Amino acid sequence: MSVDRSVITEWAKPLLDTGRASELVDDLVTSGMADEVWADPGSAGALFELQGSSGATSRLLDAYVLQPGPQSALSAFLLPLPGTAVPPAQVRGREIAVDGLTVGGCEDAPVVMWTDSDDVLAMDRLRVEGVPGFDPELRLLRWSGTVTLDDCAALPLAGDILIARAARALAHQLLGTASLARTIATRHVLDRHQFGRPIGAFQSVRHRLADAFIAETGARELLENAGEPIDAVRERLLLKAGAGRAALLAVQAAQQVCGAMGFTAEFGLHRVVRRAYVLDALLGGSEEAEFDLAAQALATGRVPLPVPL
Amino acid sequence: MTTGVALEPDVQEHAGRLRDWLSERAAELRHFAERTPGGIAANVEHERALLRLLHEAGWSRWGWPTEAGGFGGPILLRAVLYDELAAAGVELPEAYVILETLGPLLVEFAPALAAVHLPRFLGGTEIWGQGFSEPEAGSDLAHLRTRAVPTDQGFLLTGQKVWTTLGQFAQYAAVLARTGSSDSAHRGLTMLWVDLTAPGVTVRPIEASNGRDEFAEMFFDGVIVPADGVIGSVGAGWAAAMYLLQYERGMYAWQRQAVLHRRLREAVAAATGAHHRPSATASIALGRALHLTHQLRARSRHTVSRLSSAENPGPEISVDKALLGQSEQATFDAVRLLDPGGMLLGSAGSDQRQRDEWFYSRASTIFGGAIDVQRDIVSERVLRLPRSGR
Repeated sequence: MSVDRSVITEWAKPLLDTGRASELVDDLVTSGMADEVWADPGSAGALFELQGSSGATSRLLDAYVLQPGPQSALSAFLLPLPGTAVPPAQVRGREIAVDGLTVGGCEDAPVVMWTDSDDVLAMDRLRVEGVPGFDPELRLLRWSGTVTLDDCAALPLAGDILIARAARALAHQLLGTASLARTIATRHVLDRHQFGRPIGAFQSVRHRLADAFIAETGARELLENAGEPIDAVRERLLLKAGAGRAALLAVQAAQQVCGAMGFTAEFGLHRVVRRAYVLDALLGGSEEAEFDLAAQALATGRVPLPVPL
Repeated sequence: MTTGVALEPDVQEHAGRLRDWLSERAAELRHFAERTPGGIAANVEHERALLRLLHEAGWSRWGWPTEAGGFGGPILLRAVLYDELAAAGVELPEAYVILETLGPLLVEFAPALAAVHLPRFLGGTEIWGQGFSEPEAGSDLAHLRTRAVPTDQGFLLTGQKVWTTLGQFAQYAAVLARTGSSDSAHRGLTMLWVDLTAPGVTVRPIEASNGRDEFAEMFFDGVIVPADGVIGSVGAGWAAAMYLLQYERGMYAWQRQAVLHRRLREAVAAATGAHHRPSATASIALGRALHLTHQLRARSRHTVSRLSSAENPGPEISVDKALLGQSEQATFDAVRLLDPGGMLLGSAGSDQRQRDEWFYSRASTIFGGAIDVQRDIVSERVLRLPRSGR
């Protein structure tokens, strides 16, 4: 049942590095290999980290969240608008108001969405528009409109499981994005000389990158060892808080230490910066996640321990 | 995509038995829920009683080798004890911090000393001190000046050590001293086991910014250290110190995350019951503290299991130390903002403790290797950035 993680990453890396991410997703789904990969948390996480560290865009998130069989078409999974984790479909009597995003751009796929009454519905009659926005390469699509329940097919899926998967996928991709920013910055501070030495020899520069690494490591440990979640909301908050903060700290440090060069389009850092901010905001940003962790603790009077011993 | 860290079933079972014992003895243990008022000397005596209780019941002996008076089993069993004590609302004895730095050192490098002294420490009859820092050698430990000159009987020790936690109550200290030439840096150091009741030793407490005598300074004026007091071998003191630092950074961080979670739990419970709602600032600080302390738990859980399987965590253990300092400060800032009246104006014992701990948390990015040094280690030895001229 278990797959060899290094085989998966060796196969995926060249595809992601050469802009063939879509091919990777197609192969994964149609080959029937996907089930094995998804069943192994390390392999699934490694794929999303690779997607992050190569700066690639694909429909890997749809594939992981929805996990279709090899014969089924891959639907698109609807995420809430940035900065919130409120379900993108709001049920009002027989009507459903929909407004949400999909990642990786597939305008003719049926959309799967979770509602505020905890149903998961499939729907193919929504208005769709491309929203290039801050990170055009992420190929975000915005799906909106009002539909009736009769237009939708109810799916036997649990919304909270789908959201937890989406949060995990985003968190791993954010960690990959953080390490990409750090790698770019490290290369730059080794190459760039000022005052007669590489700027990476200056403590103020080194310490920013060290702090980024520390935040990334802390987030990765929590991501990999959080243990069985007590509830889906808490799980999402823990995942998004750590990985989002790590990615933001990494791109902020990179923007500073790459100096004026990092500010040019040619250098390319801006693409990583944009990616970090948009991925962080999907399913709620890291700062909101921290705030909500506090709100949850204050509302319940409890501080559950993550990571069982 | 949770991988989790699977625990051996016997460790789980052990934790379950300990939990049962803690709840059976809840009434007796309530006495140890808090530090005792009346200063650090009174508290040391208070803690001795808890050490004795845990030793007699056997719980503190698990995870230490049988040759050193323990019951054997993986080091994880020690981690279980600290975690369960904090979860049961028992204040972790400060002496356990010293135990987790010097205990592994003796077990690894001086089994004969461990066989004699570890049972005494576990039983609460002996306390040890750590003699590393000097007035002129803090972060730059390798340039320490305390000298140990070989003699017929062993060594003659002369110099000064500082910031020794509980030093004024200690019977023995592990002292890092120079046996090589004065320019031998880390190569000419030897770790010695020093009897603090020997002639020529003076120990003086130092009052810290929180008003407590948190640590002491030790003066050695021609102190005779017998030859069998060498921990490890002559000239190999640096390696012994580095070995100890893994525990000081790994297991100490684990102990502290257990305590920090308890503090956050209690602050949240108090804020939930209070009449006024916490400010937005307090909520933001609480969120950051919960998040960082959860990360610290995940990280040090991983490190402790690596130590338990005799893996060397390497330079990346600096991450643990950095996360520890950040979690400490975030936690006591959150506690302060959730209860500004108690922190700034209160006169209850818990208010005083809050102030003590807030001050002490400021030191958590200084002692045991300043966070700035940890960042240097991470950038040089993990990220492979060039050595800096600082």
